[in-house]
Amino acid sequence: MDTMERKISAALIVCLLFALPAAFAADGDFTFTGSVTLGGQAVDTKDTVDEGKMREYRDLTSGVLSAFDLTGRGTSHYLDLYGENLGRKDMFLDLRGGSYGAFKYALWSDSMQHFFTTDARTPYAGAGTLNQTAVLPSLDPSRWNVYDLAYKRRNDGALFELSLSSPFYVRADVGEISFDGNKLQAYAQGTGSSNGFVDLAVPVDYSTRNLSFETGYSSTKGHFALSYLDSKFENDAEILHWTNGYFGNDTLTGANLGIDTSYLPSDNQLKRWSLNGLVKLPLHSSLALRYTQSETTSDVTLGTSQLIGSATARSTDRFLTSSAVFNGKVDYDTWALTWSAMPVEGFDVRLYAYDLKRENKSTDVLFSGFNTATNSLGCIGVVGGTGPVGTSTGPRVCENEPFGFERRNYGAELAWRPGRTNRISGGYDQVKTDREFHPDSDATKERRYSLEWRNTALETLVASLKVQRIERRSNFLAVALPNTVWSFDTANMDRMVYKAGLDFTPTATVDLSAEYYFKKSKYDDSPSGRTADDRNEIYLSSVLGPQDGFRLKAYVDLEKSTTDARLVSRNSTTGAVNYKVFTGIEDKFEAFGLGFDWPAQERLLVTCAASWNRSKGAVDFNGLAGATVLPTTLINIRDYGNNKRLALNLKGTYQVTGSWDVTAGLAYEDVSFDDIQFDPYSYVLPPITLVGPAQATASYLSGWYRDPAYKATIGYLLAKHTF
Amino acid sequence: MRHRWFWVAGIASAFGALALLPVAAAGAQGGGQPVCADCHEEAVRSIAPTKHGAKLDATTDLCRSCHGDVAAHLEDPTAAKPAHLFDRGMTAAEKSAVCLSCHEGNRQLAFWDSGKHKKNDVACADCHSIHGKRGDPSTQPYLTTQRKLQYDTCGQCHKTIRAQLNKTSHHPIIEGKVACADCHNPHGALSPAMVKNESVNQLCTNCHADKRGPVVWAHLPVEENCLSCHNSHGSNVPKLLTVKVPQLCQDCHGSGHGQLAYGSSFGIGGANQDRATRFDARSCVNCHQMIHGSNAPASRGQFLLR
Repeated sequence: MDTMERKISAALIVCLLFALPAAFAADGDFTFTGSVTLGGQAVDTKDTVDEGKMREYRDLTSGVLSAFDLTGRGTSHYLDLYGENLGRKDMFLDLRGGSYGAFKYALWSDSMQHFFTTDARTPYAGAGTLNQTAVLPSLDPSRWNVYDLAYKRRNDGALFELSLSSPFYVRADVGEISFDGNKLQAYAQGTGSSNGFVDLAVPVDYSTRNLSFETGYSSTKGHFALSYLDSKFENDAEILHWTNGYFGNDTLTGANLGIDTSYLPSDNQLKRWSLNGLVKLPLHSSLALRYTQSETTSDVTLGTSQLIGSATARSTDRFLTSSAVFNGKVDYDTWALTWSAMPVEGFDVRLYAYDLKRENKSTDVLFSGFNTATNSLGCIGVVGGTGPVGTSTGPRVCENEPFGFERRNYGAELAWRPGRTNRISGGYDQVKTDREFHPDSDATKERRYSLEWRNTALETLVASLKVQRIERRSNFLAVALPNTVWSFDTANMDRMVYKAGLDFTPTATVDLSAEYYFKKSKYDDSPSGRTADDRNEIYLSSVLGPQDGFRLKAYVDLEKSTTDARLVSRNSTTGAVNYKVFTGIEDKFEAFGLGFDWPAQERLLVTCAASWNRSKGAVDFNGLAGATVLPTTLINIRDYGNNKRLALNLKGTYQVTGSWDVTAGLAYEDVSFDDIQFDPYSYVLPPITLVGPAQATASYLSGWYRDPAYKATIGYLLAKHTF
Repeated sequence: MRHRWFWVAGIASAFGALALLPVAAAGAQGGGQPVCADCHEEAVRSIAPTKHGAKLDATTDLCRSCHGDVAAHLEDPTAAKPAHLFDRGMTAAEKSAVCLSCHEGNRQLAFWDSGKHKKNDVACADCHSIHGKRGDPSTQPYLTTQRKLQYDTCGQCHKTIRAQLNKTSHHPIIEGKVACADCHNPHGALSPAMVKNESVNQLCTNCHADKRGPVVWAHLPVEENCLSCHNSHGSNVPKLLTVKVPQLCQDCHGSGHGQLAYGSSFGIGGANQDRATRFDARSCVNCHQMIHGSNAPASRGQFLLR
């Protein structure tokens, strides 16, 4: 148990012990209800290679289960306490209480593990640390080190709010979100992808401490609030050293010629203050305003060298930088204004405007000093160049570009209710984005038009239809060539969205609903890259049965999306088109669910939950006409992220006495994966081309997604005492 | 193991203290039950342990505060119904107006008029169960929690989102570790999709503060909108990506090896499915690991490699 956990635990228990008598003393009629649950679960994962996916967010290990809740109610005070999975990796504790209208408080601690794989491997020593070394090549994974790829996340916090039964209030929140463990990062060997890559378990040792204050006024006439947030992110593991096998197998104590450096997230701090207000006006209207200003900073001592050059030279190139420290600073200014009104009966109007400005005031950093005449590694200029910095004739430099943008959004929505049973609504929305240092487009305008009709003429039926059109146009900075790909989030686009919905409730015990979506997008102006995407979705669901009898719920979800793209290659000298390839990506998802609650006897409740879902992916390739050279071998991709999950949970709860009940249950999960990117899995991949020494001839993978399929049978027994 | 005993001891002490406190009798809080309980026993019993139930007494004040005038109904239950039955005969606005008659000044509801839910005829009682009715049967995989999870309520209307939550890559929402209201304000907000922050990126970095930067070398779509690449509710692709990599990257990167088909020799003249570092495993991210931005020097950072 770490220090923070002890503090939170102690604080919670002290609060509990003191809050209850205090509340009781203040409130003579304060009474309690609650329960305590104790039991256990046994988990069988026979034939499962990797339990990572099964335990991704759940602590599904065999052991003791517990839960408790306590509800205190008085005419002026209240208290709610809940806890579960005590001592387990997904423990949850929550205490809330206060006095109606006068004050309230809360204290919580929520833990979670994020598991990736329980059987990760690495040829490196020091997995999960900042120094990872290996002697490469290392082609026998059975001799590698084994570790769990996972981290733990904790969210601890507290709040207190005081209003003393007045419209004014003050509030303070304090909290910490912490991560502890490791996660996967991969790095290219040598300097690029031709030499393979290595999976490394990098340490995750983050904490984000938040402190906020808010004060304001709130009544039926209006609302006003002023708040301030200070959020500090700290990473105790910022610089990673590892053996880059392409350059050699030196250790950290040697000449370090083969030791590479990677830069993990740096500390940062966010400060934000905001002003919220709303005032009620005539015509049943209200005017709402929000203004927010924030500043995010991160100061980083810059690295001054990197491994480049040939494998035999194993050189460490050094750079001069324009600044030894990077002072990152990004400011956001946002404001939003909304006027909502019902000027006459049956008409709703909403007008809104929203502006977000992101200014990047970070240090302009210039790296220079490459000593390799033939390899620019993406930087501009030539070695010894005397032209202007930043041009092809200037000295060779790499310079960062402080990206900033401003987004202006405004729109109107109008709804008309010609009677109690119909509503017709429409809207117009426009977003204009202006950018600095974007390679494709400095300005984008997006317009949305929508129209919806909703009908409740029949007592038992609600029907709705909606259509939406979206147009996006950008100002592109370069002339389009046959192989130009405009980033798809700025590319010119025309999209239509149709939605139909039906809710049918013929009786109080029958509720049926159906929804259908169709979305079609076209990127006709894009010479290459994404050209179109379609999406079809159908959702059916039903709930049948009375509240106090056999009650059944079922659903069906069907989704299919297709994305079309063109890949065009041109000769960089002649401009001739080498090849064109059409790519069609398909993604399907199907899901079914069924659950029921069945009071089989007066004292016995049987519940069942079953769900099944499946996703399938594929890519089709076709060579297109108009190219001088066509790819000779285009193999369509199948099993592209296919997976299935079957989950069953059947349990019975028997009420032994008025205050005791016992629950016994059996759950089963069967999850399978089939993905060509991981199938057949190999810990060691051959290189694209052999360009370096022996140790550079392979990529070394961790085993994540090697075999995430699992089968688990879970039996559980719980006894609950209610008081 | 030691900290488990710490918890057991702590909670045992806390409950020991409870033995000294009064336990509520089954049924009403102090003050007796209203006459309504004669016919609507379950309705009265279920509201008793709630915060509303704290006002429950022998008068019918609590019942009337929501259901309106019941005088005629008390005289002849078969001939007259209470004014507010919260059934199909009431519009969403009429239902909500009953709740707002007490809660309108609540600061959490300050932006209700500006929000999407009011506009789309969502009533308070569509989400809040005042009488604590039994929820719908669960269809979800096994969990050790006994809490009623928020997404169950939101998913009744937001079926697209419900489907996404069940996909293989998702935030731990169905596991009860993230709630819809962690990101959205269902009572109304001035932001698109009623998110709690000013923009999507500022929202995401509340938890993913390691992605806040600022960094020397930024990846522009990351800076502008996380949703360009991720579907926050769930996806068939790991890391909640909207499309598999490399296709996702190829939607923007049309030069260098980004534009090419997949294979050992860039796809020209060779098979495009050889075991290759540009396609296998995590494809582009095998090398361009620092996809959210890098502080590494020169080209190592510029190409998001270190």
